Amino acid sequence: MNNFEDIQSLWQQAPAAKAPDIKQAIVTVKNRRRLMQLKSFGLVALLLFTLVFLVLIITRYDFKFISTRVGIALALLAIGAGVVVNSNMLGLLLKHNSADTSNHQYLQSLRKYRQRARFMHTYGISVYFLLMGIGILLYIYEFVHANTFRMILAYGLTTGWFLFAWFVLRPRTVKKQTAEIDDMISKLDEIDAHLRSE
Amino acid sequence: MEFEKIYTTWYPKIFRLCMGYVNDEAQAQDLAQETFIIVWQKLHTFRGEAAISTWIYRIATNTCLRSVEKSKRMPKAELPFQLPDIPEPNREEKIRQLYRCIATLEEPDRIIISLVLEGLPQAEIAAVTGLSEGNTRVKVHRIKEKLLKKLQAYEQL
Repeated sequence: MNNFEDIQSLWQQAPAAKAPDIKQAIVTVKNRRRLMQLKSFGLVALLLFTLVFLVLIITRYDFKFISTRVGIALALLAIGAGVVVNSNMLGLLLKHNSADTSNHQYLQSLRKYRQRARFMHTYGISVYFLLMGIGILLYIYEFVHANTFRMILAYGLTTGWFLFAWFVLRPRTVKKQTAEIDDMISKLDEIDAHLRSE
Repeated sequence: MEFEKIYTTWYPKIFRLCMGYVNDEAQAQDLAQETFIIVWQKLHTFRGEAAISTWIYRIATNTCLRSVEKSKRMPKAELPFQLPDIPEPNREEKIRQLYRCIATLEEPDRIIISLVLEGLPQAEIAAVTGLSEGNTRVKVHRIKEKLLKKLQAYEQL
């Protein structure tokens, strides 16, 4: 092959694999879309259920201390926030538009999304542990306050768990997630840098 | 424009582009399919401000680039040291060689050269990639040379 025209004519002769049946492709899209809708419906249902459950507990049970109710609310808030962060909900909010953006803009938007995900995971997990820890500490007060021994035991165990989660589990999870996201960001950067290089 | 018409007209071109990117038929089919799913979903938003080719190629190339997130990065292929002794490779073998050589380029270069080979004007390539026309011209020239050298080296092996 001595010139580019030869290559071009060869390229254009390349046989394309038989195009899959268009109807089949559209059915696939519709199924996928239905699955997405079901998933988000399930998520919303779960959040609503949690909320109803929270309201029921707070109103139906005759807790003497306000701390118990606040504790339950904080713990459930933590669970709700965890569901939102871990689900695809944020992904849907930060959708990329591949149709109206150039490769450079698209790579930038993928990078921005990854950075946001990193922020959410790093700070989100801290907020989760804080809300959950404080929630549980507040919740158990009503049940153990009458007996000093039970109180020391319950608070000792809860604080111990909380410290373990904060100083061992949290950094480990954050480190793992951040490493994965950083790896992806560096790959995207590398491709974008090569694209723009002169 | 009807989706069905777009699909039949554009499938071979998009498939070739994806083949240039991944050099693997099954993966190229997946990427092409993914592209047309987005085309189908977004067709109502296409207002004809850009050429339909720019619009479809943007979706296809962005879909290729995004595959970096879904799986491992499409690795750069290595040219084999020794090739089977074929005196005069037939057309299909030559096409395979071409894909293999394109696969040894960096990801953005694979996209640019595939667009060139599809006969897309440089202004449109610039619009798809987001590069300036000047930069596109320089890049196209360099990648063409690089590819030609690779192919010639391959033929001499």
